[in-house]
Amino acid sequence: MTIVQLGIFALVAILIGQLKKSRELAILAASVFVLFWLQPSQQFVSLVFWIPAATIGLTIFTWLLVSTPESRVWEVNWPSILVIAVVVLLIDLNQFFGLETIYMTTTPRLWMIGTGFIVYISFLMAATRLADKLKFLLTAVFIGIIFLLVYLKTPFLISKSFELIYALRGQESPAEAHYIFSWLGFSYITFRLMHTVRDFQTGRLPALNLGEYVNYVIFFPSFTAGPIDRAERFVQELRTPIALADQDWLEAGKRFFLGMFKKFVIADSLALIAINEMLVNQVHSAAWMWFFLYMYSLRIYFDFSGYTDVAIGLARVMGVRLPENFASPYFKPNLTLFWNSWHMTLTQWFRAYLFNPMTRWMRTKNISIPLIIFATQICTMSLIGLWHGVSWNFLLWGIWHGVGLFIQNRWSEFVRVRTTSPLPPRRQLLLNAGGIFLTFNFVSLGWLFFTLPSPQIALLAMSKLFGIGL
Amino acid sequence: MNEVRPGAVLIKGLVLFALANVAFAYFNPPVGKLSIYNWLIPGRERVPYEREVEYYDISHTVPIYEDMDAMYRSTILSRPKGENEFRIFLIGDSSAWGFQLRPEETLVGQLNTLNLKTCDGKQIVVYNAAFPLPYVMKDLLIMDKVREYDPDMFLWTITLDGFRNRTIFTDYFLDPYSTRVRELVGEYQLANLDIDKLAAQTFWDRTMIGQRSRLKKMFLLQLHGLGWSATNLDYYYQGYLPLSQDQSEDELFFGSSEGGLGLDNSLFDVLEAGYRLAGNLPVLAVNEPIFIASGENSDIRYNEFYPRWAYDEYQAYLENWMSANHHEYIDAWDFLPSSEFTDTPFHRSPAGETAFAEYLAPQILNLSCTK
Repeated sequence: MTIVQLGIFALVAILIGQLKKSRELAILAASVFVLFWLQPSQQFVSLVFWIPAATIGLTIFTWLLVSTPESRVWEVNWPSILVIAVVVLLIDLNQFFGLETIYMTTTPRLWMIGTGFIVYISFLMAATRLADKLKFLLTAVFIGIIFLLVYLKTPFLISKSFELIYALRGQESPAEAHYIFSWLGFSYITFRLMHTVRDFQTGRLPALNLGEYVNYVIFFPSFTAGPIDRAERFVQELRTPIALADQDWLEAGKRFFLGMFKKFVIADSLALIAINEMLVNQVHSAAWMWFFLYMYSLRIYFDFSGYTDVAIGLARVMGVRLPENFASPYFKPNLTLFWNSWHMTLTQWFRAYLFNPMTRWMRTKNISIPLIIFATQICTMSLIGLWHGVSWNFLLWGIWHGVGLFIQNRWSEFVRVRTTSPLPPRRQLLLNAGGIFLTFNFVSLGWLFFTLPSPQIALLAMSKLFGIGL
Repeated sequence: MNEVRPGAVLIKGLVLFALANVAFAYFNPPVGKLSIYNWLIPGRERVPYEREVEYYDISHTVPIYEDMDAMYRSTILSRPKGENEFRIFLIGDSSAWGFQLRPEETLVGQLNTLNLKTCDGKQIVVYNAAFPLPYVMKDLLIMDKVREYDPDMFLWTITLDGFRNRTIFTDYFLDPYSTRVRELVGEYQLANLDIDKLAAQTFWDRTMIGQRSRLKKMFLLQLHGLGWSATNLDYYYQGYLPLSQDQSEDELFFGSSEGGLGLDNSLFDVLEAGYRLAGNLPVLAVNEPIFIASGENSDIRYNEFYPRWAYDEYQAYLENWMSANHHEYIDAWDFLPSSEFTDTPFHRSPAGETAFAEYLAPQILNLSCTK
């Protein structure tokens, strides 16, 4: 996202915040529009339109499966349907306004939209009739979303599918096909959809009308970079009548501008001196290598937390309090506390839907506690790694943290059973400082797997950091 | 607790920002002189420059021609002069800067390797002040600027292409210094330079907003200095294809045909201004070596830049002009064999630079002793 786009988002958010009525519909209209606006260019230009359309289609379909019959009534949902349809239609009609150079997309012909709409509505009607009878549909959707995510995160699969499409067309596939197919925001959309499906299955999901559900999934301040809110919390905020006090405006403005500063001034500057493949090959001093590695650690924090601040600020002026995603993670004295304060909403999601259920299940199997901890930590962190992309690098990054969390857990347990009384304050302070130093360095070393293009380069960097191979 | 009103905060912020901009435009602070080079990190051996945007990575950086203070403060040229030092500043284009060469391989690097000393025993240290652009007016501006770093002599490499009077480069290099360019034009009666298209700086241009591109580049230059310091690399060495000995049969030189070069209306008056601007300091001008092809159509063209008629005409004109004005100069146009050129008919190989440095050394020593 650019500064100009974020500036426009801020203006739109302020206008929405002023609305006394129809705030939910205005947010819906803005979110649908932004979904199309931010979609990057694709190998096949028509996908710039069809990918966001598919996001909306998938979201509405999932809503049909997780909503109660009462929340599906026409009287409640027709305004949302109208808003979505009008925005999508206006985007398509853009071809007649001659604004394609501004909007930067190519829209399909009206007859294609019409046909797609009719097919989709027929599908939805069939699904609505079957939804209450075929319970496996929900599980199928859950698995389908996972498969789609795996596909989108695996460059090899995308390359192969592109090659197949080109072969079917009798054309030669461009070598870099996997670079030009991206489904904007799907990583985050996946978590929101899966959360609602799972909570519906366990009876914890509140009844949501269409507007509330679509807003939750594609809420424009947060759909590309989080935070990952919970539906029940988000909807409560959406339903609460808005009344912004001066303090809200100040808080929102502070977060927005702080976020912009973090992202566009600090993080973008640090990006110029953060470790990269070229530097790993060119630098011949361990001290400089550590410097560039630390710069990367800071850069990724300011970049990511900056976006979160912007999202929180934008949402706040619309009367929605998004959850915090970072809490000074680099000042935490151990790895568990680091992960409790880094991308918190992601780790909470994994804790709720993977770590805790897996732990509970393993406990029923008479497996030793250390083994349970090892397995759950490795599984959870590996999946968090693979969520960023299916590659050896991300897997190694996940395993690095999984092993780190296990060792830290066992060490803490070892110390706990041998400590009878609290440490003197000065010693505790020193211990905390040492913990912060160790944790920061452990996390920084892990970033090598995250940011460098291959495990070989990451290992070369690691060896240079310790003075080997300079 | 005092109640804070968001509207008041916003207005105060905007007013302070506007005031800061007005103050910046009014006082025009020399922010380019603020540099971490030669202080926290070593200075560069030549001005920052990178042609391709995709190679603006960590150690290479964007050319910051808008602020010569920032440009030269980032080089070792701005270091205080040693007591026993005789400073020579090399002025010129990309061949002087050293495209495709590491700093130690350039003409400057090779001259310093020769460990030259003046007649009175001073150590001759040659500094690279060249900016990769063949344009003598740019050279004059640079000479004017780097005088503040206490040179004892100028070495100035020239070629026909630098004397063409054109506006495309004035937009690019001269625009940020339009006031000083006009002063130089007036001071040295530079009749042939087309300054009508030079934009005069407005008050708005001088504000922080108007200067944002320059300020951003200055900031980047400092950050890229860390990469430079860690890698000692200041340029992306991307390799090149050897020059072809075969030439096209095109006889035109930038649209001019034989007899239409119009050197009387070219920028030779800028060359004269350079000598005058240097004052008592010796200036050694060198007509730089060019690639001389031997293949097909080499009877028509020396290389892809110069048809024979144009270069011959220029060379004769230069000789007459130097002789008439009693200036020292070396015509080295055919000094190097074609095998010692790299990616363009001007850029020399490391071996070519070694030979060229050895060729220039006696003349430099002679001239340094006249001071």
